[in-house]
Amino acid sequence: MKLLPRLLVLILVLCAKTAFAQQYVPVVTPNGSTLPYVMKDGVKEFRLTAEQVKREFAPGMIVNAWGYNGSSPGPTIEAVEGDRVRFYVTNKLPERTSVHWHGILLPNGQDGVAGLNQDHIKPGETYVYEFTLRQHGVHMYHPHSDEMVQMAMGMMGFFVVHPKVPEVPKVDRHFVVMLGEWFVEPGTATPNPMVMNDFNLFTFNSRVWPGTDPWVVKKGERVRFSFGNLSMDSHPIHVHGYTFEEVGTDGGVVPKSARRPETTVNVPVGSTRTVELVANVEGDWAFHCHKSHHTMNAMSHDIPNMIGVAQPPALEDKVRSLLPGYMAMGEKGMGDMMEMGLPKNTLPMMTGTGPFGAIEMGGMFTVLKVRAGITSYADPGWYQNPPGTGAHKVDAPPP
Amino acid sequence: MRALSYGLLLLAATVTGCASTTPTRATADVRDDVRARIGHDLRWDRQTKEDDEAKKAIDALLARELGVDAAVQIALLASPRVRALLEELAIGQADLVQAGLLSNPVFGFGKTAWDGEHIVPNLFASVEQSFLDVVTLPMKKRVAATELEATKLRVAFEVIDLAADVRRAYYEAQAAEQTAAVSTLLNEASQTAAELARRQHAAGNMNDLALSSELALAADQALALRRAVTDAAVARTELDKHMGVWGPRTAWKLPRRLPDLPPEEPSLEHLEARAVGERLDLAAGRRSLQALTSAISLAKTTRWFGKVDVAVEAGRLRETRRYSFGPSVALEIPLFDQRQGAIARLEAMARRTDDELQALAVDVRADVRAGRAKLVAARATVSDYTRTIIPLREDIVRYSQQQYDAMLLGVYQLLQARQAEFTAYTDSIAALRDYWIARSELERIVGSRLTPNNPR
Repeated sequence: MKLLPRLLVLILVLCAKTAFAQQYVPVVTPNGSTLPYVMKDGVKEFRLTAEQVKREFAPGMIVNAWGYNGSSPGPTIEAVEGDRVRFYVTNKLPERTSVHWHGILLPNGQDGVAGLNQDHIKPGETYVYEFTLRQHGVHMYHPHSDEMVQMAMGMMGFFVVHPKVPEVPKVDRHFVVMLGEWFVEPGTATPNPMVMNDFNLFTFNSRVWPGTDPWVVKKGERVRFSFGNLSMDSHPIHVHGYTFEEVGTDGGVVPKSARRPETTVNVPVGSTRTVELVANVEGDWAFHCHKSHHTMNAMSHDIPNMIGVAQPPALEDKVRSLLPGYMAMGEKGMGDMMEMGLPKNTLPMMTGTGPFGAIEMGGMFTVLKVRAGITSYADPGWYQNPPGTGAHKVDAPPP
Repeated sequence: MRALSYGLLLLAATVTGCASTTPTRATADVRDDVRARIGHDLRWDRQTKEDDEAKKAIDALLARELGVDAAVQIALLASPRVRALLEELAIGQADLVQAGLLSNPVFGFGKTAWDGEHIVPNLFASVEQSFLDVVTLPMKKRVAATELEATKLRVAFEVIDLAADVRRAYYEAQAAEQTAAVSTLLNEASQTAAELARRQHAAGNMNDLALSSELALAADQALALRRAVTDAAVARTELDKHMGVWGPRTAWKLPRRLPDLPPEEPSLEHLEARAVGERLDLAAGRRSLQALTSAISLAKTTRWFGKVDVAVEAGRLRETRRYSFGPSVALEIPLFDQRQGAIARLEAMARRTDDELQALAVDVRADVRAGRAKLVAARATVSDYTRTIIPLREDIVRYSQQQYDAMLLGVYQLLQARQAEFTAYTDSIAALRDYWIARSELERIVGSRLTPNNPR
């Protein structure tokens, strides 16, 4: 008598598994990809290769990074709560490594802290990890072996576990964005892992504006953004035109009662934050880190401060007689000082042009493009403000 | 006896010849030697018509931009030192004339101490002439001529040496002027940086410490400029001295830049042999040795000849009231003095001269090797500057400018990059100067130009 209910439960579970297997909405990894898998004996089998990669941060700038399967960040792992997953991890780096499954609940022997939970994976070796996913949420993976170097070189990725039972209301579009900080000396290509504070490049999925893809959604969609942070600083990520609610962390789902409206979510070091909004206002909305140096490219932090220092033409000419290409700068700020010349493989500090001219931003910056009536998520171009709805120049009103 | 006297006079006239005291021939020889070795014209300033030409030539050379060869030429035409040297020739020539002169006959006149039976009023006169001179005169002349040869060579050598001094002073002056010009630019860069710093400070963007540091750098640079300008002025006057010019003639103008390296070094092989063959001081030494050898053989030839004095005496005979002549011969008997001392002294002098000559040859060979090593090293250093150091400094300025344009670098660092480039220019000027000086020195050592007259 006890066998029948158990059998029924088993049949139900099997049916549910079959029914819900591919029913989650896959996440979007802007400028990235999702890691494919094969089913083997009921186990989702993934292959990760740790290796050196060339990452184009933006057109014209290639970085000698480290990553997985040819990219930094590594491809996003997607699975469903209750799945048994298996990872074959091959080390093609010049040094040993390991993979830690950040935020995932699993047996101690799978946690990936080299030296503590397992042997180091030496160059050329392949290790296997296997465990069952007992939770859902947005998590991460990264090395736990010489991590100062390996993470500074770009080795990290998302591990998204979808809920077994689809959420209500349904999320239409879910972007996962890994926040990164780098120091790439202007004119060079290899990040310097020794730098701790003085970073000069700040990335969304290892891309900088204007190399970051726009985040395109259809008007009315429920949109979720997950930000992962394995850098050295916290990043207050700010949206324009909307408020969002923080719905999850790498620890799990935030209860509805604890959610509050925000326009900026501070993503602490070693965490993910997931926010949600309903895209009901059309337009091109800036989405960026609110630390102003983090929306700059290749900047130097020790140039003389020339703000308000008068450099009359006669003085400029004097310098120019010694240095024919010289141009005085900084007196009135830096906004109009772009692209006079650059070392090779170096992006302008402030760059990217919009429909109204220079956007004067770089780094952790992109545009949320909300459009009605689009049929694809390809870049729809710049938003045309309806007539009479834009700010415009007028004569100053009388006092 | 009369015939004898006439004969003597005739002989004297023949032997002494019509040797002139003007060293025209010697000067021409020296001029040829100098021209053959360094390609310059040498004139002897003696208030002649030629002098006016020389003066015109000097002024014409000074009116143009002054090249190194022009400087040497001016020295050879204008320097009182050169004229002083040339007087050696006149002295040598005079010695030669002197050596060709018979000793003068000695006229004696006297009254006998006793009353002569035949001679009234016991008065007599005599003419006495040493005859050894007649025999030795050609040999003496040969010695003097050889010595004049040695003098000519020595004078030519000194002139060539002096030309090398001029070249050295020239390159020093040119490098100093060029350095001063670069120093001016360096100073401008510092003063500009200082002005920017003052403005930054006034705007409240630079602290007192940083301002003081910038101002101190600029002050140092101003001092360095003053030093460089003074050095250039002093170097100019050195060249004035070597060229022998003063007053309005000191307003010459140098080319702005030192000449570049010649495309290749003349073959430095066989330079030792060439120096030993061409150095005129060595040739002069050899001539001196030859003169001494002649003097020794002269001494040896005459060691058994004493003095031979032939005299004619005259007195009036009492009886006939006519004058009577009588010859007399006085022979020195070389019994004690056979010139052993004089000959030994001459032989020792000859040996000494020979030793000195050999020592000089050894020195010359060693100096050639050292001079050649210096030249090769100086050339390599200049190449390092032109091929590596300067291009790198220029790259640094270019890249600094690029980084400045990308707002990655401040204006002070940019100016500093430029200053470092200027400093490298200054160093390269010194290297090029050292090359040309090394080359002049090697030419001095070899005793002739390495390549015939290369311009500037």
